[in-house]
Amino acid sequence: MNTQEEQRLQTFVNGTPLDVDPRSIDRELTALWAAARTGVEPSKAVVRFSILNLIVMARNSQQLEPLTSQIIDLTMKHPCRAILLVNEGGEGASTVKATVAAHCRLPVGGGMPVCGEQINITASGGDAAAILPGTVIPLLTSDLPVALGWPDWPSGALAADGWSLDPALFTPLLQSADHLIVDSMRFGKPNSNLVRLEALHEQDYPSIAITDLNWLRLLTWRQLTAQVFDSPSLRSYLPNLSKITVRYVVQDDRPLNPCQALLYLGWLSDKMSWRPSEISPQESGNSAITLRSSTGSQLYAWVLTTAADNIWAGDIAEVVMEGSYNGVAATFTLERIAFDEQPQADGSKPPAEHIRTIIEVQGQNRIERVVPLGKQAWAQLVGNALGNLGHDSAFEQALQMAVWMSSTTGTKKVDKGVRGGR
Amino acid sequence: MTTLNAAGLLEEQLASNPLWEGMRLQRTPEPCAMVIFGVTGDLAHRKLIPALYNLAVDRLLPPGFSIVGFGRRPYTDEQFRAEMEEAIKQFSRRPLEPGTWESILQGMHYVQGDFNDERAFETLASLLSDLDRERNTGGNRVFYLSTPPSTYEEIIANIGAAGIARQNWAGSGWTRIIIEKPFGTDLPTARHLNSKVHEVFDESQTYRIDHYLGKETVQNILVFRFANTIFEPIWNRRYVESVQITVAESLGVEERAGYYEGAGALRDMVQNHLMQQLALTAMEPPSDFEADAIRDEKVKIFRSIKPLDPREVAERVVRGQYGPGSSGGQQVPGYRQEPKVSPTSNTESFVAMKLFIENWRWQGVPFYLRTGKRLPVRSSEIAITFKPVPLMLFRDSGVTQLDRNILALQIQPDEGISMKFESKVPSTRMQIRSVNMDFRYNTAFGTQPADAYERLILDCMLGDSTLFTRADEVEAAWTIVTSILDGWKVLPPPQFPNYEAGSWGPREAHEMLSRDGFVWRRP
Repeated sequence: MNTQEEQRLQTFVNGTPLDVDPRSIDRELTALWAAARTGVEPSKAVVRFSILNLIVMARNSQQLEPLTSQIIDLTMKHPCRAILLVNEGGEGASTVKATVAAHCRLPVGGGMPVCGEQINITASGGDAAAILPGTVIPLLTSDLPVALGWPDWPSGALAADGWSLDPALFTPLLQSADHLIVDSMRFGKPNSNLVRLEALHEQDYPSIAITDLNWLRLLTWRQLTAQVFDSPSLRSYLPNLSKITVRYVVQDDRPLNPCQALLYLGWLSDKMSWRPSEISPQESGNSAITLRSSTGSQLYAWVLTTAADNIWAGDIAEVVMEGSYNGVAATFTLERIAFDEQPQADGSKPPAEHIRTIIEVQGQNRIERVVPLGKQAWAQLVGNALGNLGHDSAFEQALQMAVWMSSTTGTKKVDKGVRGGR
Repeated sequence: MTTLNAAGLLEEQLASNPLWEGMRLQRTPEPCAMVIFGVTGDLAHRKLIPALYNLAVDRLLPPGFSIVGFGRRPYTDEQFRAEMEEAIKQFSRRPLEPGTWESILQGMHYVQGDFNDERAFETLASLLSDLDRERNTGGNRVFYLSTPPSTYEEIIANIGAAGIARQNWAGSGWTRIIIEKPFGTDLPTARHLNSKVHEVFDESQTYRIDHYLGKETVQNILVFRFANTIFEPIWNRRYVESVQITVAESLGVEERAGYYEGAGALRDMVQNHLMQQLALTAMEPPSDFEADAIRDEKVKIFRSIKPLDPREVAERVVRGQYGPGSSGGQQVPGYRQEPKVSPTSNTESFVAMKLFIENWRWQGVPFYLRTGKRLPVRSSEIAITFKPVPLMLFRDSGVTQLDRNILALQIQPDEGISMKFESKVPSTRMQIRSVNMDFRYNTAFGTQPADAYERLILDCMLGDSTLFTRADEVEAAWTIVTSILDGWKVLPPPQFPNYEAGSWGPREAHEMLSRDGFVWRRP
């Protein structure tokens, strides 16, 4: 190996993007890995490892850097072949540029560094969207699952069906995938994008499993809600709840996004066989939803906004469930809190990274508990999604319910059952 | 018959919590209290309290969960809490997180008393009753015996006398007891202890813990065997030549001499850890993944191993004790020179044995078991050696010998699975060499597994006894081990020490295998 080849290998193994010919990406990678296996020195040898193909569509080339750092985090637990795509669009003849990099980590307990790989492909020109799939699909490692991550959904003008993702790019990539990963927290048009997502699952690609990272952010909320009713004495309150209030965060500089709150309420309604009977959107992202149980009794759900600067916009800040059983009233509260009240160095509030559960039953002691919310970074959530690559029926049912609750214009009487069923 | 309540949810649906349906998460137990006897001891500090703390951080404990420490030291609740906080800071796999810890503190109490002090147990009963009311623990309790085995009987009897062992004693709820190893010192004492336990708790309430079963890699033996189709067809006497199970420790007896002197390697390691690994390796596929289905199959394996008579013990069991030597680049003393060890001790720090499982699957296949202290490395592995190819096809090409295929399941450290097979060396002539195909947990998953105690404590709270040993299982394992102990009683006393610290055990252990045409693997 000459000095130039050694430098090239070091650049690659260190994780710095290395320019490669887009027509021979796989061949170049094979040669680099063959050299890296033995190492410039034996002590620097590494192991190439991959458990899946992950395609991620970046909104623009500025996103490459933050996405790369998230893929490095992801590689810590899920070494993979990550392919980042950028469609720069534009006019004229199309061009494609590609880089490759390795992301290595030391295994827990020692051993040779374990490395995944990242391929960045940037296309520009009039046919950029059309030529990207043809560049990407041959790069998919056979026998490994393919997950397609499409973090950003359009916020611009929507087509008549509420859909403006470029079909020349999206469709062939989705057809090559086993799993679609989206994030409804980043939907440009939350309500109509939610409707489109459900149609994608129900009608267009029922065989492709869909994960919404926003749904995974709800995991702790769902877990803690279920735990409240694990006690047989409190479980009797579950079908006797009369009012549920879900507050989600709005911030002045961020668009309204009720998706997380709606998915939570959709999940709870589905599990309890409640069906929405009337939806009354209020001003500024608030909604009042009347739910009906299978025997016809009613309960009222409020999806309300609340201001907070230490919680991400769109995240749930609080859930309050109220009910009565045998004449004894009870309130169950889950709230995001910053356990450490001390302001940060810049004077801002510390982030609210805990959830406090409060159980108050009339005439009994109040029970409180604080637990960590759990890591919510992109890499963590995608890692969770990769741990379960199959269909998530709980999500699919919650999505269906959320779509029904997401009406934003005028009072809607729901006079037919929600499709499907449990 | 099912009825509808006011809001229309079927009451039978309410028997379980419908919110857990489809949740891709570990279930959490109902609110409960855990009483730890011997809470000021080493196990509670190093393992139990850190395990409970980590379960809380992972949100796997229920709201209202309470810990009651029971010990002889005259602590207040505050002193107890402060000591447990130190334990977490020192031994937890995660740093102390104030929010979670403060929530745990709300339900943390201490009861001071001797294990034979009936009034202390009445105080305990009263406290548990208060917790039911104040923390909504619903009559659910786990008792954890983290005490010397000599105290088990009186603690169990006093739990019974205080009336807190009964299921549904408060109108609802469950009661379970976790008992640490060693469970007895031979078959008669194990039977006696079982009968004492059953005077107070029925078998479904009893969780005999062997922390080895909480290890991910031990659990993976069943997944490896029964979630893949390619191994089970060759997992039998037709293809397997021998099996070696090694649990090697590089440390000496350290501070456990008080216990170890009376136990030795056979009772301390073979009766539980090695026997469990043997059973998981050799058992038939269970009818389902329920606790009793799996334990039924393990018991069948133990019952298929005939107890050894003294002649067989002399031929097929080797015991050893380390003398002075070197370990980790340092001179180390022999077993008899260790603190609190008798200078004439005949306690074995090493055992190797050959067992046969007399059933259709394993007839004639030797299972070699080996464990010892002060061996060169700390390592546990199960190695399955396959029979040679029936015909030496490459003899005319100059290849005269082929190595056996070996499948090795590494339990610790460096957890993984490796397969040794023959491969052609690239050249113009026929040369064959063994190569290894390796799977490493830390490479594939990049995650630190939870401590075994976290898994086992959670399983007990959830009522899943799959990874705990059943009374008949313990007794069946003791039947084999007791036959060896009985054999040793009538055989000439051993000539100890008979292996150097830092070596792979006594010469006789190697000779036992070489007589069969094998050698011990070097893990």
